[in-house]
Amino acid sequence: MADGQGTRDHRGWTRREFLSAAGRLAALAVLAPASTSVLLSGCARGGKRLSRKLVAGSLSVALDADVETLDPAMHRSRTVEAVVRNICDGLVARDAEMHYVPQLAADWKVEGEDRWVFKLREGVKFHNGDPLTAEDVKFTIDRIIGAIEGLPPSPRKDLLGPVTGAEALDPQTVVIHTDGPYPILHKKLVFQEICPKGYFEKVGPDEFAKKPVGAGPFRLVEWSPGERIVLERFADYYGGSPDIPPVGPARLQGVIFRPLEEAATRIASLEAEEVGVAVNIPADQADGVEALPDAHLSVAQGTRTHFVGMNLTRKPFSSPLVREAMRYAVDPNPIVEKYLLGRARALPGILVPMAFAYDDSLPAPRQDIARARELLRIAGYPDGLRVTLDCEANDKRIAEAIAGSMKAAGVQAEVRVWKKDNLLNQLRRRERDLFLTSWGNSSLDPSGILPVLFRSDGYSNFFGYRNPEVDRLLDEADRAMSVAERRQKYIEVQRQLQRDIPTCFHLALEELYGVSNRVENFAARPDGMLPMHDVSLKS
Amino acid sequence: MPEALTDDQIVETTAATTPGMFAVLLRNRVAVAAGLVVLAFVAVSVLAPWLAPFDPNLQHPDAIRLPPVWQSGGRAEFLLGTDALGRDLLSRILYGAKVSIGLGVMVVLLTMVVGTGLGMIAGYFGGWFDAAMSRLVDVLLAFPFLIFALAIMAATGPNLTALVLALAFKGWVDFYRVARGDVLSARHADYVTAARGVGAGTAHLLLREILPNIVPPIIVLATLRMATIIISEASLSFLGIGVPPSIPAWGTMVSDGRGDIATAWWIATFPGLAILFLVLAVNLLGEGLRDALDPRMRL
Repeated sequence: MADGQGTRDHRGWTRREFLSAAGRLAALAVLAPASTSVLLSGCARGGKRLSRKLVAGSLSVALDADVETLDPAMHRSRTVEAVVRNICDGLVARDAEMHYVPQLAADWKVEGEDRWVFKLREGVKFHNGDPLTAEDVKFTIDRIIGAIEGLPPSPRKDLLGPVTGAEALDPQTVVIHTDGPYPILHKKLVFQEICPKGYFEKVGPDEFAKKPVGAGPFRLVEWSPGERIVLERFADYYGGSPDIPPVGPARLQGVIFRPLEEAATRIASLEAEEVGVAVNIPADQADGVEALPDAHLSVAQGTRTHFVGMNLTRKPFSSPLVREAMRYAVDPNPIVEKYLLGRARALPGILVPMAFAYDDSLPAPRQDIARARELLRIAGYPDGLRVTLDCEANDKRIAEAIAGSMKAAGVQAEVRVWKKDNLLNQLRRRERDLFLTSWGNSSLDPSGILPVLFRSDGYSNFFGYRNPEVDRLLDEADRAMSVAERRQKYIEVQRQLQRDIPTCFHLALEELYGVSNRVENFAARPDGMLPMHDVSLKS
Repeated sequence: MPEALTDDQIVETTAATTPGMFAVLLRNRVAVAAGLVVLAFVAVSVLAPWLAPFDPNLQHPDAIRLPPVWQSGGRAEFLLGTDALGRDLLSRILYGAKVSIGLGVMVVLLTMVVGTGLGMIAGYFGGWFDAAMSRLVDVLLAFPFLIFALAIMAATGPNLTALVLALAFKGWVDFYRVARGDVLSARHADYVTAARGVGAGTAHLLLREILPNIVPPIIVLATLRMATIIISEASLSFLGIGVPPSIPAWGTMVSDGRGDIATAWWIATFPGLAILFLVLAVNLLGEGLRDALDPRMRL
């Protein structure tokens, strides 16, 4: 019996195997021409009921990543923030030109050094009907700084710097206390959205992360992870900041966010009019979007810096000579002009030129092969360096271009690709030597990027960088009450970094969005936010 | 199978059937053509360093996304055009053959040796070993290959050792089952009984008597497995978790080029065609071999 079994299996196997091989073969070989249409039909299936086309009055937005939570206080993701900002308003917001304007706050004033008094707008309601009061603001601040017992710590705590607590003076007045002077508190508050205390306490943190309630222009209708987030216009919206006209309820009936991680899928969906806005168009595919008959490209200067970082705690990059050699190893010109088609800018340091206290005296990055080789030789690497350049999948092409460029300088870098979260965790454990990653700084203030990356205890100090002088300067800059003094401190930090070289190549990519011509009043923003309040659709 | 009493006679018998087998194979024109294509691919994979006009990873910043030479804008030095980093597609495809065929051969050899060995032992001795192995095989057969491979590769990052292990993880099962089944039936065949009767030991019985007689189906299986392995490697590389990016592989190339398919069709299409032709040829050759080697299939 066993014999018969074996023979039958053997005979049947070849046929079956051939068929399955043929099937997979067809799938893979035809993949090239068919990929777009396959992906498209996949999308159409996913969003059939709500977004087969741009449903009248609703706008579909293709995101480049899924969201892991919708709790405004429990993430460090720009995608989550861009979605949540439509559901929950904050005390302060920024207009399209990145000016700071009061949103839920009517106005504020600083009393003494460490007391900020905020007057709230009258008549603001949360989506569940509760009025917004100073207690909600206090609750929001206290939750982020970890002053409420029994709740998990917020990854956004460091975005509030030395805030020590909040106090509700009366229903419309709230005081935020800081430990010493903190002149940029209002700028930091754009990253925090006000959550309803009553609702949160009723449903608890887990439920709140799935069904947040806020005082924003849209309320959450449905969130199917990996598929879509559906928002509906909130009719009782207070109108938004008067500094960002028009004031009133949102003009769209709804917004549908859809995570489409593949850039090609986002572009195809835009072309098929399944989405009206597609975020994060790669520079080398921008021409394809511009060529679409019914869509255009919206461009903003990026606030995210891509950088090649090094691990200072291990060989070979523990050697300052090797790090200096790395600075001269990459030729920025072909990378910017050819591979990224001019839609990027190579920078001398981690700050983008738009940022406060950008040091424009730093030398522009350039390749100097002879110098790099000489430095490597002195450092004890006469035959050059063999290293692995780790990056996340989205940055693979840039990483390969960088690796290709470094060859001439004697640095043989092998590119290795990881999933983003996986890579970040390894970097935080300082397990990687040379890596290409990026950090966004939509605040355009050095406090949004320098401490998190370069303070000895920085949340994302991937380098093992430790310089007491930098720590001190960063602390002093936080407290400096005069603008000139702050600028000076940050410029000194940049010069220290220029000497210590924890990062050797910096790139700011333009933010490119594909936008359907039916969408009005939408423009790419440097901060990557997607405020939908003022957006409308041409009929 | 004819009766065989001594080693010499077995060798003779096997040798005597060989011309017949080749004659059958040669009469099969499709299989011959497929064999030639496979040979060509193997030659390319070995000779890639001499055939390729460029280093496959050499980037030409001034020649990005050049179309193949016969399209307007194409340049003579880049016959099949260049990719998004200005790398020569022809050179990359030639080197890619090395990865596909090299990995295919390596994995097939590994799974064949392991699977056949275990299968013969299980089939010949039976008992607890057979029982345990067969349950293990049942478990493995129920294991989704892609998920397992994804897990391994995601944990270790793309590297060749993990890739070979991921691909070989389940592959040996097929060889095990074929070898075990054939040994089960051969164990009581007259020629084995006869050899045992003249005092042959277990090792001699297994390696000199039984093994030569179960080789044909194993070879057929190996050929067909080869095609599957090539596809699996390309699929994993396509997903970005196969071969490291610094090694040109067809699956990676298809994946890299798919974003450009509307504007630069050649980047994904040519490596896709390479996969198509190689796998098709290997499959057709396998079918031809089966017809020639396995008389049971000749009906």
